[in-house]
Amino acid sequence: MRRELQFLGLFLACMAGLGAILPGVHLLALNQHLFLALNVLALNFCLGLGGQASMASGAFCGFGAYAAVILLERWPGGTLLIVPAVALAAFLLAAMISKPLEKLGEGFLAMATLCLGLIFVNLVLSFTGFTGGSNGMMVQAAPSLPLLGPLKGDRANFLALLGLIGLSGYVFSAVRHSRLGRALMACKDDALAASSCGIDRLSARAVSFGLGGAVSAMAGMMLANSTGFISPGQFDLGLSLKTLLFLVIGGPGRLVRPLAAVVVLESLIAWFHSLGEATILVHGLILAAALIAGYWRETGLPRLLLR
Amino acid sequence: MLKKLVTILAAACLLAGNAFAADPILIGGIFAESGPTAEIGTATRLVAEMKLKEINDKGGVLGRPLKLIAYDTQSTPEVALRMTRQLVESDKVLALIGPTSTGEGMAVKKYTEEQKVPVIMTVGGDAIVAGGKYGPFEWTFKVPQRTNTAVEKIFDHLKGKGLTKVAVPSAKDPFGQDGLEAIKALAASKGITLVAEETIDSKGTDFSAEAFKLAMAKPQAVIVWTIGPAAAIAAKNFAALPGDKPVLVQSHGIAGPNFVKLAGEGAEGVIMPATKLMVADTLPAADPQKAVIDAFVKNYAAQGLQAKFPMNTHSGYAADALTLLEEGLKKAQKPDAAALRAALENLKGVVGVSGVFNPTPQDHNGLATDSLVMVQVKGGKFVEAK
Amino acid sequence: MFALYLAQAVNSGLALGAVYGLMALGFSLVYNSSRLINFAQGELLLLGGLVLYSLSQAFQLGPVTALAATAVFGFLLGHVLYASTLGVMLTAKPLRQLMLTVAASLIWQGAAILLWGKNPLKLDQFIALPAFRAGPVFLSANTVTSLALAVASVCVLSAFLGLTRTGRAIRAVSMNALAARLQGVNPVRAQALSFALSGVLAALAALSIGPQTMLRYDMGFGLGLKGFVAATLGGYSSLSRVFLGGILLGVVEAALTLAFSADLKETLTYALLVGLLVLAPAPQHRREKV
Repeated sequence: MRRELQFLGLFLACMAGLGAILPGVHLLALNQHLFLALNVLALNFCLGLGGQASMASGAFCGFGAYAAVILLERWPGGTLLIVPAVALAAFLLAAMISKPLEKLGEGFLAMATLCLGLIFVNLVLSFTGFTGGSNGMMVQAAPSLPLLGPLKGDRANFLALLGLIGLSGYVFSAVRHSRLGRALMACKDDALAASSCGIDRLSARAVSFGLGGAVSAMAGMMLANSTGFISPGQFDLGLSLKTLLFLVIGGPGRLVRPLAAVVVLESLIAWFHSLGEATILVHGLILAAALIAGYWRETGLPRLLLR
Repeated sequence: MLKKLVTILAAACLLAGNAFAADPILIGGIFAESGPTAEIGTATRLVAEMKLKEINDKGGVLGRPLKLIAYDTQSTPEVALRMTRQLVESDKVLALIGPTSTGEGMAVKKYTEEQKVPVIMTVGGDAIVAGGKYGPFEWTFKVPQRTNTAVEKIFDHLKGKGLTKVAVPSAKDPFGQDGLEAIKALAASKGITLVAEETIDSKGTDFSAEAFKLAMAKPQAVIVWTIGPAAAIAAKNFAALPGDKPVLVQSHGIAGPNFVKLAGEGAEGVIMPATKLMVADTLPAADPQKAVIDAFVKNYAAQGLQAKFPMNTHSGYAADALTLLEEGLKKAQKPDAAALRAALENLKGVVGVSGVFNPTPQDHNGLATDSLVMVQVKGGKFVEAK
Repeated sequence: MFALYLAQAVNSGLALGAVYGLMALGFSLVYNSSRLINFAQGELLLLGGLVLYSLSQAFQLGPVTALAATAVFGFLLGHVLYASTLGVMLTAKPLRQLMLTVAASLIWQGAAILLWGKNPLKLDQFIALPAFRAGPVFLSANTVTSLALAVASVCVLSAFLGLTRTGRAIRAVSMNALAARLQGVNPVRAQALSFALSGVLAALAALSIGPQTMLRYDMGFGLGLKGFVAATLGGYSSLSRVFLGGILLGVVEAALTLAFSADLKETLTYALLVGLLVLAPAPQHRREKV
């Protein structure tokens, strides 16, 4: 656990250093990458700890974003209450959802959570009164802490994101090296054996899925604050897919590697922002390359197509 | 030795030339060149560059050439915001044109209003200049007609034909939502009754069930409010309905060769409001826009754009954005953001491709119903609807 | 009045249902032989349709040639997909294989954008069958064509799987890969063949739906997902059940639109899938590593 936390600390220190020297707009870009990194960390709870590939991480981000924006609009001073409340609500919602889905195999769980994500987007689009529908919502009130004032501006968001990544990373490491973590590892390895050892699979996985949902929700809140505008299109399947793909590249279960993968690859992709029409193709190619490379590294030598 | 001399002379000429050339005025452009709305974005950028060249060839504005720095927004609000910040903070542009979709426009607007940067947007949604819960719009201007204007035009036409019962299938995206709200708001005052409404998926592949359901309510006209292929599919589905078919009306975002191609026979007889660009060859000589439109059409074809992006009702927006910018700068007399904004708010009678603009401090669009003309598809071509 | 609604639901539903059925068949073929959920199924449809479009622009295609071309290219595309995804990661964890199909779907979509552009393309109707009218039941020409193609495909596929040697080999692999291997069946060949067949089915689906709804670069995902819902509805077991699942899904969607609103239709369809997955017994998925 110490090693892991040391690496995490190193990563955060590098980011902090970067953040100190980068000018405004690049800091915004870094913030957007850090948001994705936080979401990848959230998914790591579901997948790395609990072994469940969830395609609903974008939906939980959206849930956090919309809930926070709507509530903060009504009660601008209530940040200290609202933010934890939304995170808790996301935790409970995710835990509740994971229970019936727990018995599904990997592929089917992915599809079921995919549908849940789609349902979320549809719901947001339908309840135009609350959510502004597809026109989206302008973020009027920023979350504000009692001593520090409102969280406005790139630097404030940057520090908040780093703080959240640090906190979530610590929780991730702590859970992994605890009894719960070992129980989850057993569930991942062989679900039947775990059950017969007396592990309550449903509850254990509910906790990991719930934590994933809560962290995603917090990431969503940060995105809303950082961009100033939310719309359903930002939290659709595309976000969930991107998150899952980066996690798989970095290695589910590892703490720092997926975060580093996000920052490095996203910055790389942003460099080529004049890709134009080839964007989707390049995304797919980079990700396929990373997947295949990871696989070859694991199996030793490149396998030719079996005849 | 001779070579050295020539090089020095050439360098000297270059330096001298630079000394005489004026500093360009920097204009930022954000267009969606990848992602779902990429055709509109790429075409918009090309038109902007075409118009920019035209302005520069005539000597630029205030004696200086205009330079366009354009970035791709990937049709995403976050990237649009990032690119805008880059343009404003790193590239230090004076003003911006674009983006091309409403979601991006809203994300960008929040920042540009705070930073006091004039932006002339080419988005279809009204939210950017609607005010109220959508935020202030002091520095934001819109080129395409407001949805209200288009709906008014449609209602006037229908009323004139005695068709007062309408049914509305609309998309769930910002454009569709705008349309439905405008239709509901204006219906009573124009004597039109909304007998049925349905939402359709702008990415959907078949709307025959929705068409049937709406037809059951016996409307005299059906107003479809969506953009892209969904509109063509809806037209085909309505054309396939048995029995008496209601008159099919499309939104002001549809007119163009793509619709006719995709809807095939379903497009015959469909009416829609469009900019005068669609009936360019039949405009009367007295029309104030005729000269500008003819020049635009000629230039569009000459630059090879007609082959890549056949002209549709949207084609002129980017050119008009630059026209407005040019007139604004001329009126302001100096390349200063605040002066430009004040000038833009008070322009009178700027003749553009999409209409004659008369913006006011309350109306940052400035186009009225006379900038639109009701057209009908006849034999695969757009003619003025009588 | 109710009869009219029903007739309309049936007509709209069957048109799309036939396509969903074909996609569902493709999914279930791949799933049964390799326990893999093929995320790129929709892109198989897209590319099949686009290739057909290009061919039809270059040559004049009659109904038979169009069918033949569709089958050939669908087969090739399916094979290419297999070679580039499962074929490369045969022994990887199922999740990684799934992710590779996701990456493949992005790559194919990206390639489609670069090669054919983003404008929707109209595919001609190669097989012109007349519309069908019997009392209140009205099936448009497109619907009849889609249905005819789909039903014919199911029949041919069933015959192939039931009567030919290769077909039986595929079925053996889907039942118990290890045992099949012991009997001399090459499971890799069988899996590749399943992919290729599902490519053919997807291309046929493109042939039937293209004239109606135009080919758009982003149409793959939606149709693929619906195909997955239909396959789950049918239970992944027998071909006819899976196909009927597709038809049922199409009709249910149309009925939901008529009864409630198009808004709710999407939400309800996905909720239906989640409900099915949660409540129904999960299909047997013991992974047999060979």
